[in-house]
Amino acid sequence: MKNRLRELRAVRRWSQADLADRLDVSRQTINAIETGRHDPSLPLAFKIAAVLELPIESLFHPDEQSPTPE
Amino acid sequence: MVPPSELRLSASDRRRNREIMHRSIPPLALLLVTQGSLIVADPGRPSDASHVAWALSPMIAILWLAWVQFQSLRRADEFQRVMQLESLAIGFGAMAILGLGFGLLDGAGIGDSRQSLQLTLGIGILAWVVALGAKSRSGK
Repeated sequence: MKNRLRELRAVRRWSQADLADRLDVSRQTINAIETGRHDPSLPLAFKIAAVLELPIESLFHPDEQSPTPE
Repeated sequence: MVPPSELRLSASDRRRNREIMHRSIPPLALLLVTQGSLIVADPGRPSDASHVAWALSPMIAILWLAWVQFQSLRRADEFQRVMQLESLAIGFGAMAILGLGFGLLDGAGIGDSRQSLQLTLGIGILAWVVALGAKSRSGK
């Protein structure tokens, strides 16, 4: 699964630790999600979407699909 | 590669590290005292219940440390939990393979089974720690 986390985080000028603080997870977890080494659970994916104030489908998409525009 | 400015620990990381540190110190101190007392005043071959209890006293600290580890696993977030469980699986696999190997040697009358057990445990724990360290480093 691919995601736009890094790009959306950069737009907000948040570091990985800033986003991790908002989600109450470790910075490593954010890095693993951004680099595609870890697919978040559904509750965490919804939490990410809530923190970024975006619909979940605009953040994550299967490898073969393009993301839905913001 | 993550820029150095991004390597700040999150509040969750700091809280977890602090908790592990605070919770690990008492059982480690107890392990030092109980194991130390066994080394300094060797009970020899336990003959009665109090000697057996003394010889097994480091187990209290070991069980306490295992509980700390279990609590840390429960408090970890989902990615850290996967990393820890994978590392534990590697450590367990190393111990199982070594145990089997030393068991076969023991069956053939080669080697000292007491040393083999200690070696198996030591290498198993080392494999777990190294695997966790490698996984943590690759996640930076």
